[in-house]
Amino acid sequence: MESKVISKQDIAPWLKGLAEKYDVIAPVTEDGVTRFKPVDDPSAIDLGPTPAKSGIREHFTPETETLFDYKLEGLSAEVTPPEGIKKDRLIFGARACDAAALRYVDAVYSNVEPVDTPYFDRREHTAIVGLFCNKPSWTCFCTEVGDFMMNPINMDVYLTDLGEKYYAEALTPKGEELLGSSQFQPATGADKQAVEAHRESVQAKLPKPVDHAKASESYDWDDPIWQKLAEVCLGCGACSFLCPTCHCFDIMECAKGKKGSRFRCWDTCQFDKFTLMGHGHNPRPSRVERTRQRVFHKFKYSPERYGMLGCVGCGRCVAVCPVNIDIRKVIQEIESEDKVSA
Amino acid sequence: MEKELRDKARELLESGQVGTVIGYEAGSAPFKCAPLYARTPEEAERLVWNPTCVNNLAVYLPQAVKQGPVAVVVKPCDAKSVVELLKENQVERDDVKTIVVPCPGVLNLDALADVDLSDVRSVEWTDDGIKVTTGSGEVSIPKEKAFLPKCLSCALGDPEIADIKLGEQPVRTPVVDSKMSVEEYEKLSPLERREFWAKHFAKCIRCYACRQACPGCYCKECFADKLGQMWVTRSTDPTTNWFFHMTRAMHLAGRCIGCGECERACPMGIPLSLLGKKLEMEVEDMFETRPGEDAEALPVLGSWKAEDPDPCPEE
Amino acid sequence: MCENPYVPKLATIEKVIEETWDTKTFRAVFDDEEYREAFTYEPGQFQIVSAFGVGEATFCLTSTPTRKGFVEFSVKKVASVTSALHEMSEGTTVGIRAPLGNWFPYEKMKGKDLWFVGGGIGMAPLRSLLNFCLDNRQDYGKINIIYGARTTGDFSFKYEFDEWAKSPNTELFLTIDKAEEGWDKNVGFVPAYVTDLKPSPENAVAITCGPPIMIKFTLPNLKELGFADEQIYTTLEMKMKCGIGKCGRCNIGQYYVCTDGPVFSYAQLKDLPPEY
Repeated sequence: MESKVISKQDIAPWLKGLAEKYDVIAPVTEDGVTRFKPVDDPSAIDLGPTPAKSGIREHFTPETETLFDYKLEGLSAEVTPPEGIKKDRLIFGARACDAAALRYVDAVYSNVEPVDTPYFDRREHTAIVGLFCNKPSWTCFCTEVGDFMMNPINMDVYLTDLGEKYYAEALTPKGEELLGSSQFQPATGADKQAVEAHRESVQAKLPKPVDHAKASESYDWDDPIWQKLAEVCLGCGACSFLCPTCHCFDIMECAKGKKGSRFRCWDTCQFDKFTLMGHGHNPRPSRVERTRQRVFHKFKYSPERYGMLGCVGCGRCVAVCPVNIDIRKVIQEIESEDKVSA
Repeated sequence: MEKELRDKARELLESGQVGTVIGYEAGSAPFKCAPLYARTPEEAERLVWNPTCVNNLAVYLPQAVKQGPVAVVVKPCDAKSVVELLKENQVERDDVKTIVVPCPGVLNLDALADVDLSDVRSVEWTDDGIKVTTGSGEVSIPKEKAFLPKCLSCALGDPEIADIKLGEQPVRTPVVDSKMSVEEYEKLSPLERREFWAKHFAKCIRCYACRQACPGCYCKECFADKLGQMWVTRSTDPTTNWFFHMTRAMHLAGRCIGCGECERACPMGIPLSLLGKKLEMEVEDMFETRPGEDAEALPVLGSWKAEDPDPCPEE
Repeated sequence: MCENPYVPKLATIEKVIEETWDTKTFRAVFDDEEYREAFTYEPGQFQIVSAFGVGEATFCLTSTPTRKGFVEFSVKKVASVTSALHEMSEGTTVGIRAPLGNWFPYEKMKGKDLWFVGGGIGMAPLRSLLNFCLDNRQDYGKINIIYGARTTGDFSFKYEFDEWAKSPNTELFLTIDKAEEGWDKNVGFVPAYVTDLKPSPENAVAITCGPPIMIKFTLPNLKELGFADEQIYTTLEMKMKCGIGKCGRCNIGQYYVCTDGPVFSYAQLKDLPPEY
């Protein structure tokens, strides 16, 4: 597919032109925190040099989602399923890590029948325009766990910032259609070379690949690190809730007299009641088990079950942890002699 | 200062006075620190004291003292949490020794927004702020920008509970009045205040980082986690978020000592310490008492005096 | 777009049986006739029942698929959903998401002697397989049922004991924890009773379910009697929400109890991390 370029000034008119077909979702900064939100006015978009505080996850697995409404009448009840997505969405400015994380969540939500239909409805109706990271954050380590920064997946278009303009590659037929707008011009050979050189220079500063899946085969269930982490970890859900591959949820009822709804909301294996059973038994009663579960699930159980890591190296958990639990250091410590370069 | 700290910690551990010294060690980046449970003299060597030491380590005390006496490194603000924990019988006096460090102020990470974080080598105090050393040189940042807002308005001297003092607290000249942010807030009408909090609570993802980072939130089962009587679900709709935050704020009224960990821990930038500060002021107005100052006092909202203000109108 | 798997099918409670002071068995019938006719399941699978206004909870399908037209679930009153179900009378609408999970590999058990070892409410999942085998009596060898409860008042399915005991080549062994007046059968914990009865592992399969403490002591006793790991099956209980391997809660290692289980052989369990 032919590569194109678009002047930065033409981004706003391009997005405005798409408004009829797509609801545009892009990074917006409010009170110093950047999040992906629906935007009507493209001038509000803040692409910033480093990835947004939170990713695109909430647009596929919402923080809270109604599963159905119900109504009680005497002894009987009526149930109304929710409506599907009415209008396509376009996520603008997603990073490679966030898009790659969708591959993992796709795998989890379709691994066993029945598949998660509300999630796939959103996936089907969303186009993603990604952005190459000019300035990775101090917490970024996507190159250690995958090569999607250079070879993105789950995106329709990949943009690379060339200063006054973006280099645009269509990665899917939908992407090609998006680049068909008049604002896009064909890219030149010089553009292509500039992009390659730029990407190489950014990649060079990032960590080298490590075969964590292989190393995880010899993880120690009783490694003393879990005791150490358990003492320091506060047991909040910040790491999980900002993680693009985390997909766990709780199902609860919102009852208002004779009517109400059942909804699902984000949950995390880090909360103490996550695995607590009705009669009191809890297979993961302390933070020793829970911190171990987080690491094992992402780096060991996920490769075993889905053939891929449950971590895309976005580093958000590192950035947000109030007590500086750095998963890169944890992995390094439990892999010490077993570290294998891919 | 770090040498004195490590020497003291080693002494406490070797003499058997405490089994653990909870302090700070270097984090995974030069502008971060991590909590450390030092139990051996070797581990005590890892203790640090520098501008990155922002955490309030008192949050670990209720659990840690179950294993025996503990020493904890505290800044004057953190020490107030120890007072409250003693007041509320969460730790016994004999089980905790505070190691009070002289604190000019601690790092506001926002101050490093223009610095290449991957290039930072160290963060140190200077006479009027901090000095950040990077691969390409040194950057001086004045305290108005370098320190957390709570540090700028800090007027604290020696804390009430100071078992070991590692030096004199600097003479303080608060550059920002501690009530300034609340004053701005108090200019808002009730409807504006409602909109202010509604806007902020709408951002809440209910990660409970605020609660978990708070030394005052030590309940074994938080009201928000009850499943039997479900006071509040984990839906992130604005009403439920409001309920959670306002209830938690009320539970902390008269007990919040303003360490600001809730706001620091919040991934969504909700100004939680404003809520705590406002309620602290309300309590001070009504009951003429401030939290974190007198370990012998009874909890202000857990006790009653005849002189307490009576909101009920006279007949 | 395929059906939303989180939306339950409506069913009406047809019968409420008070088993013990804290356990009731409910028989429910799907409201939609077409769905009801087509509905089938395997013994060992489970269902998630909705008490609208309160929530959902997981229960094994204690009925057998050989008896069509209804499903049954046994509910021990422990928390909010189970309490809400206990308040329900005949005619109340519930929601059901079923069938979920894997099932007992009864094909592999054909022609063999079966030893059912159940404790307390653990008898509920076993009952599905038991009645299934009794309805296909010719396919199985001798059927032995060991069922233990704390007291005589804690036995469920008492109305089926006669049917089980009188089935050809079938024996029922009941036991209670402490002696009671009028009780002339065995007294003692289930694991000890298993050892006393000396089941032969020769061409046999053991299927056990009960409180964790019972399983903990029954498994080694069966092993000591010569049962190989592949000859022992159990069905696990874990906290569940979605029941379809999405919410991430019920994992043991890389396996989800709701999709890779709840039925596991001891051979499989041995290799799993000790977190259940």
